[in-house]
Amino acid sequence: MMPLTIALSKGRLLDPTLELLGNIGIAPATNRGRELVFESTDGRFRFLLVKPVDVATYVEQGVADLGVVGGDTLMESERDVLQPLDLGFGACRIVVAARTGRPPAESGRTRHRVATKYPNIAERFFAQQRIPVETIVLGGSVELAPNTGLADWIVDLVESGRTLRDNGLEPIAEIATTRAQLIVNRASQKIRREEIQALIDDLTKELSC
Amino acid sequence: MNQLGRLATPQDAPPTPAAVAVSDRLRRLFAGWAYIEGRFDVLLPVDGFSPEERRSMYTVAAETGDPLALRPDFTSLVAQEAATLGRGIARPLRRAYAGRAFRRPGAQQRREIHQAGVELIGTAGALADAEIVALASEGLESLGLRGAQIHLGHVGFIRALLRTSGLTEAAESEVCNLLARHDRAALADSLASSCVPADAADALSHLLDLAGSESVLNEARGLTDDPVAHGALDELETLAALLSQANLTTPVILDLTEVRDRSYYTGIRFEAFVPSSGFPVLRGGRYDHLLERYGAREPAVGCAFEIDRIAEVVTSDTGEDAKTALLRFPADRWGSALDEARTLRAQGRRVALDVGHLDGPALDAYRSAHHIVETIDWRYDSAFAPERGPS
Repeated sequence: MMPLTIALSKGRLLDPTLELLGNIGIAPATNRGRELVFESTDGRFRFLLVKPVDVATYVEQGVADLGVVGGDTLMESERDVLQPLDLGFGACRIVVAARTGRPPAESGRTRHRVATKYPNIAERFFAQQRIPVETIVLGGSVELAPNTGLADWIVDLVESGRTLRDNGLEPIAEIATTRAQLIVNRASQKIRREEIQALIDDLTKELSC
Repeated sequence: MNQLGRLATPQDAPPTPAAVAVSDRLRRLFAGWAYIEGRFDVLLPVDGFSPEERRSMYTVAAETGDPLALRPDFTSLVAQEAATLGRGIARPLRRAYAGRAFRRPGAQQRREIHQAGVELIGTAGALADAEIVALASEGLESLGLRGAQIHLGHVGFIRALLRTSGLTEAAESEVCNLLARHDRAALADSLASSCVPADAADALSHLLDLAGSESVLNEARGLTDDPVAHGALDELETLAALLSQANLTTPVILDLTEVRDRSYYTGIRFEAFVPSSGFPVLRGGRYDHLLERYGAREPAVGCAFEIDRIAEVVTSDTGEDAKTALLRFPADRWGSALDEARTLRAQGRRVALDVGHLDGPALDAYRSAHHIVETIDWRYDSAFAPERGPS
């Protein structure tokens, strides 16, 4: 039997993911070191270590059967994958933030400028709210944008809110609360349904303890 | 975000050898089942398509300024042909097609799709459905796709569940999105906060469990009293009974979990999967409303094989075709070399003449890049018996 392939996000989600898998008896076969591909001790699973933004791509294309990905990354990627289980950890809020204590004033502009790493989420949210905006896509340090005049608002991920406060910003609207998600390739769900369902059942049981 | 720059664009390149082999094999199969291959224009007037379909189509302006579209699929073209040119022809009508269609990319990010398929027009009922599923199974088998499964369902069941749930249009669309993502937790929340009757909510929340053997049908019957839903399950049961007589080599899984495309199909629906592809390799079903668009009211059932997805999986048995012999010759003996090449080609061999007089590393590089399995040296002193060197 071919192992089920699971794409894991490098970075902040990796340790809690491996801990959760360890709790249901799925552990890496070797001391991982720097390997990007490794198997579980029982050979039933193969893991791929990839960048968080790439997890959903690996799963959508079927290179991985399953994946663990942040809800924010998944929402932004708009990939066509199944999302059967909320894993509960890695909670974050996606918010719109503006400079503290600055009520909106006449600017002569026809739309607000929004800086973000999440253009799809931002555009979808403002379209729903019927607020015309211009999105400016940044790769990081988004909280700098309002203070440098690059943008009026930002859309960003907030864990504790401290980074916002340190940069003189405050949330003015919450778009979503996200947690790590288990995702599944559509064809894998069909052709390896029992194995995938057994894994989901084990995870569900563990998460409810 | 605009992703145009990153996607494969429509090309006027011939399909890969593997895709040609897959397509040819299917076309022979369709012909053997008496499906007549139609020929279809690549550019069409857009009037035959719904506004929703038009959004996924590429359009260009005709000389008159009217919009023309690149064909988005073949099924609608077959339906149109059957309802117009083919109107007076005695039914059932069996039509096949093979070629490329063009769509604005969705999640799968391909603008150009290569399909081959069949449509059986003018006959309703289980035997017509069974013919298409059996043909699909034979097709998968003839392509040597290992571990293939056909997942067979019926849109009538989910549509009946949604109707009895009394959801508003917006709530129904939300529920179906969650079902399509298999997001059970969010589905439970959504149903709990709606005013769906408890039994209907229970049925919807169990929908994703309804895949497997024939016991699925009884489980499904236990979830609802709705006669339309039961009618759909009865149709599926009749079809499954027919298929069990057919000695199909591809396992058929009864699967009621699909909610997407529920307005396109009107009866049975199916998809086929193989372990080595992350996408379905085949889709099909019944669409009895399709011909209405062209002024005819006729039942129709069909399926389409995804040639490119299959070609990515089936590579082993086309490798043989690519093996080439290189015929080397002195510059003044080109005519004799050509004679020899002609003889070899008549035997079905693939022969390239060494017009570049390659030698040393250049010869080695050419051999490995062009799958040269044999090098044949044509010499003065062996004019009647070319000396064959190892590859």
